[in-house]
Amino acid sequence: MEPLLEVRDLSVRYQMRDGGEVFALSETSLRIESGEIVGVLGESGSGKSTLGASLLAMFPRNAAIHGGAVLLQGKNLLELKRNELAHVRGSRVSLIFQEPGVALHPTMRVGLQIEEVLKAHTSEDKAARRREVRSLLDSIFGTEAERVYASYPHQLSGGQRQRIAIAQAIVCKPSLLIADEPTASLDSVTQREILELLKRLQKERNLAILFITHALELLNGFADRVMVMYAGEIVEEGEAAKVLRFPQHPYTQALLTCRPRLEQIKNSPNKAHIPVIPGDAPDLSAKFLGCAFAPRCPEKMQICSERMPEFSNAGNGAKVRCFKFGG
Amino acid sequence: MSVRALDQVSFVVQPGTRIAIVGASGSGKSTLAACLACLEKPSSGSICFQGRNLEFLSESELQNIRPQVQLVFQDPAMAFNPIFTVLEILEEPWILQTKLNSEERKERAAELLGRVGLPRRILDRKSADLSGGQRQRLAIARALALEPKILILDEALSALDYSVQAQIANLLLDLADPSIPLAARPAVLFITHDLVMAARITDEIIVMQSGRIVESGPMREVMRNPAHMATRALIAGASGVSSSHEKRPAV
Repeated sequence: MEPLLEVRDLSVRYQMRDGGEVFALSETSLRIESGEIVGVLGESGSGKSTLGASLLAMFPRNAAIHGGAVLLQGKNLLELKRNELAHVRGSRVSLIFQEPGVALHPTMRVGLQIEEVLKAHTSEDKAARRREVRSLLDSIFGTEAERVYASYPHQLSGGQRQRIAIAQAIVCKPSLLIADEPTASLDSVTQREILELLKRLQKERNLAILFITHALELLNGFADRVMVMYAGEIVEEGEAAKVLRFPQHPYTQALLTCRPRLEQIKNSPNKAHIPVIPGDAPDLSAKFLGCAFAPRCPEKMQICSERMPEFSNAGNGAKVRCFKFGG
Repeated sequence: MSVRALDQVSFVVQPGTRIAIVGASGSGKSTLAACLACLEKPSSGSICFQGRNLEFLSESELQNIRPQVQLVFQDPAMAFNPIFTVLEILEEPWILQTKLNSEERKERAAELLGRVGLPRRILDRKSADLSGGQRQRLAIARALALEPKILILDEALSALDYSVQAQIANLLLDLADPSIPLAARPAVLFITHDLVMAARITDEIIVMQSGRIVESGPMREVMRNPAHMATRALIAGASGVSSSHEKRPAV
């Protein structure tokens, strides 16, 4: 069956002012099926945000695509003209960021802002748009919907603003929502509520979600599949429960041990050091000859510095780019 | 219309202790940090540092106290003058307050960088050229330059990748190591909504909600037997469980 969205061998580089380049994505490929939640887990510089932006063909001016395709139901978004892309963005594929304030006009009531999105993409009349938005806000805000509809962004809390950004992103019933660190500025209780809302929307609307984050614990019980990125490449991918509980790639394993877990702390309070990933973050100014993680990898072999491994099947059913498993 | 940001908040910070102040957004924890760092004045109540009530001190007396309570914020990008080098940032207070010459200041700066795990070679770099994690370490180095009695970190780790958070958390654990003499060991107030990191690196916890302290005590005790609903909601959030069974208005 054709996936909802497919990225094929996408490579993106950024041109820096000093003439250097940043290799943000290197021949990255992935598939998203209808209605599935895919978590993209990675740290700064992993390429996760570039990947998210590329699904909407949204690149900053200094970005250059060095090959690859982004296929939405078979059509390559990277080949579309600007006006054709405008029809896709917001109506077939939408995006929410970490700072909902960026997406919201400060001097316009939020209900109206959501209606504007409908106006841009549909031929519904004003009354129909209003009804639709009010109904959407009812389902998201419950008894607070009326007050929220009439509010300005500054009158809402961070969590409420993010809910409005989500409403704005889904009002035209897109099939894919890209969420780039949408809960990073929210407290942990509100974070969980936003995740619950997204999960509900997935079920009700068969909405696929690409959830980009560095906060691995958010993906547990939320994402269907997880992809782990490092230095512009996907290094491990598989069922969320398996990747997060039985990680196979040395980077994924190292990353998961850096983050303390409450259960561990409750049972044995430990003031010894938290494990860290040794070495420095990868230098993205040149293409890597071998595996980008090799300099920091405790299981590094000779071949790791010679070429990049291909994907192999790991024990937990995931696919891993690591010579430990073949490659 | 006034908002009660802090409401009858009372607690004591003993020398060398590590205390987490946790709560959801709007709980008042950042206002508390600002008051402790003498950046805001309370409307009522008192803040006593080493037995002296800050409200009754003269400006020159306060100038002596401010360096002893250092605050590190979440966004290190805003904390530094972008045209200053790392050396200039660190030596600024020493130029004003000590008689060290430039060689001595440079040595001290290098030593301080070493304490926070930064290499000497960045002394000549501008702060804007450092990564987020490096800038945060620099902010801690600058805070330590004045040998404070209290180090307050207000969501100082939240914006960083987990591997970087781990490195800085280890630095904080080292700072507050019980083997260091009390006089050289700052009390650390770790203000955050990240309960997991707070639990890992502190010994006591204060839970805030709507400007009030709703629960406090030894970290392990409170984690195992949380009494207040706000504490339980934070624990649920941190454990990956939804707290929707607790009745809360949607935010």
